Amino acid sequence: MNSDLRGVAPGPETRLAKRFSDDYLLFEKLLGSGSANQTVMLGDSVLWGIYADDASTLPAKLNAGSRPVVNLGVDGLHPVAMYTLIVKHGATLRNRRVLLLSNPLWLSGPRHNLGDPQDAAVNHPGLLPPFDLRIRAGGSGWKARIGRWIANSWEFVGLRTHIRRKAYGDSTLSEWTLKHPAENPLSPLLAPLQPWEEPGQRRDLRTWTRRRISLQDWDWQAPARSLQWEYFEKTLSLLQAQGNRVAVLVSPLNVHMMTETTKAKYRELQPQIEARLKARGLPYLLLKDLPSEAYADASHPLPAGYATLAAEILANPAIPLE
Amino acid sequence: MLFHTWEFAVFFAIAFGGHLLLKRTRFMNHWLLACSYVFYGWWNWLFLGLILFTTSIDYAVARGMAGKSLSIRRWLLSISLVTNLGLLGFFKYSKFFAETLNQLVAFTGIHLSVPVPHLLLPVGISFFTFQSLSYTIDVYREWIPAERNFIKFAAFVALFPQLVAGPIVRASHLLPQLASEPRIGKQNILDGIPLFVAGLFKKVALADYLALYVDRVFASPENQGSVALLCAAWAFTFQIYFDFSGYTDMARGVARMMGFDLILNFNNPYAAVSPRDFWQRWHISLSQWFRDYVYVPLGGNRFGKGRAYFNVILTMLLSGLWHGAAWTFLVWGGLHAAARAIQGLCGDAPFFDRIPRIVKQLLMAHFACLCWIFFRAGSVHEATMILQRIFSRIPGQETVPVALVCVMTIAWLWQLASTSRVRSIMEQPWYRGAALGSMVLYLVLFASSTGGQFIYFQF
Repeated sequence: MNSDLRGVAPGPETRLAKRFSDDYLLFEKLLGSGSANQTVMLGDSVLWGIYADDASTLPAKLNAGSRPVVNLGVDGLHPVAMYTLIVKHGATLRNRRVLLLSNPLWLSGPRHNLGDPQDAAVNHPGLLPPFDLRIRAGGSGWKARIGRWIANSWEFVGLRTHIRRKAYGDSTLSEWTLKHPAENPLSPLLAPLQPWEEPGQRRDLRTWTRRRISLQDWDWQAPARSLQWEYFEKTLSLLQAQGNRVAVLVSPLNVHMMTETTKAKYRELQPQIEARLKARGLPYLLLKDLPSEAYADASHPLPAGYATLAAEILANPAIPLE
Repeated sequence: MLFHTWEFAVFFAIAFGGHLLLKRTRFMNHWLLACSYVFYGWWNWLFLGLILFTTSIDYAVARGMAGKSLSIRRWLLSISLVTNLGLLGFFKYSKFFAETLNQLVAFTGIHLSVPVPHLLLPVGISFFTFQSLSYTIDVYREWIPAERNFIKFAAFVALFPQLVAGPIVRASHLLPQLASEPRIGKQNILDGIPLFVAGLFKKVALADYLALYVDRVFASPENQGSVALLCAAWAFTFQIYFDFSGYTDMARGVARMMGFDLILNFNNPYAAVSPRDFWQRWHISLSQWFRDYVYVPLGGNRFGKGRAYFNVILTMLLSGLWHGAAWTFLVWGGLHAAARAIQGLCGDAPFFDRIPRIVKQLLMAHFACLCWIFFRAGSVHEATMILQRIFSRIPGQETVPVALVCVMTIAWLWQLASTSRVRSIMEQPWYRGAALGSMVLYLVLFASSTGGQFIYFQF
């Protein structure tokens, strides 16, 4: 794997290919492959930029500043998963500058507290802390918990995932041979690793209104009772303890898509978030709301939205990117 | 619980630990029985009542036979036969018989139908009833004495490594092993673990892989071309072999680690040179059961060729029916019966001796493959449609996966090699070590974490 990674350090417009979203071993190696003066940005798909091309994501736009920024956003990476990712695979991040993008959508309902054992559709189930008994979503039986503990403790499990993702994407080897009946199943194993998203892919750039998304009603979870926020703060503590210079950006949700009641409660939530960040003494910035046409859905900006956000961040001395 | 699950790993760790502690004591069989009942009850605790019932009946029947006259023994044996075959017939065949009766009645134009029962089939019922029946029949024949210890007998019937999918073990083979302290040394582990790993590899890496293609093609055979159907038939030929023999290998590996020996159930069946040879290599314990308890009591070959053919055909038809309550299994058994009869008619001809061995093996493997179509298809009509399409050279869209063909080719050549002089190389420690290492590497790096159900569990 190390020979595979020669010369694949993250650059100003790179981002992890989606098929490697659960390849945590690769993520760990990539974390350690950049240069020390780069600011590493961590976050979910809002950071990754699912409705933007490589040059239009937030980290790409922030590279207009003097300090290089790399995009290590991971699709679906909720705060609980991010915590485990840093704990198990973040040792190579020590002493680096880290800019965390916090997405308040993870506080938008009790489902995100991961307490429902019937909820199997959880992102990154392999990163759910196995022995936090409050977490019952994504498999709460002893088998699932021990499986997660093993997966995060034994490197060979990560290597297995890496080999599969590198060579066969979402398929197993067996499934791949059926989808590619005339091809040699060993050849993808020997091909060079391409960890970055392929440039030039078509993105759906419609606004949320053109997608006909209706107004949303959310049951906001205050930071004090949100499992996701609790783990977000644990991540901050962990990063600070391992010598990282941490700053936090709180991405602006699409208030135009909220009902009036939800918007009012969201406005009450924002000062609570700000108070908690302030109490930590970290540089932070609650990004301003974007215009309606800058959003593709509830939380993901379109390229123009990212450009606006980047300008706001670069102009703010609280976030040290200059 | 399936062998290739975490539940079984934990269960076996506990069962094995207790077995090590208790193997020198008089509680060894108590522990084995308790573990076996936990294993069986894991599927459905209601099944425990059934196995306990049949075990109790057969224990009492056998004890009752001791020292009795032939007529009394016969009467007692009939109780065991009625109980075991009755339960088997009720759970497994009542739906088939009811549906067949309704179809026949409808054919005559009479407006009458019997209710069709929908019963939950107890896992392994075909196996443990046959195993227990072999015991009562052997006691009736005075081949073995009746077992006095109920716990030991119950442990023989229910021993968990072979309970739900065989091999069907004779009392004369297993009861003595349960009567003494099993030897569990380094060699048991060195033999048992590779056997288990080989079985796991066969199931997870090979059978489940082939199943992906088989299920896809057999889901809509009417839309497939000849090549795809033939390839799927071959894939199923190897899928069922790897599935069933893989389970048996795991069962034998587990038993070996516990100091018990279970009989070999598969001996490279696709290297067979004739139908008779095939049935001496495929599901050996079942073949021997039908030979000893159906074919021989019917008279075997003692009453002339005509009667011998009849006995063979009837035995093979019953063997087919044992596999499943459907006409497809009867046809499958019938095809093999016809092949056996033809072999009996022509097998002594000098012509056959001049056929090269490899040609015989190819022909037999092809025949077995075409018969398996009836085993896999949903109906006789579907099976005949598939055969028709195979032989009609119908073009299709589907491209046959090269890797699949390679797997099947290598598997068949492996079986041929295992029955040839190359076998001596395959028994070398370096070869076995390399094979084991490769299997472990594949399982660790590539195997899907969700294995499928075993085919023979439905029997």
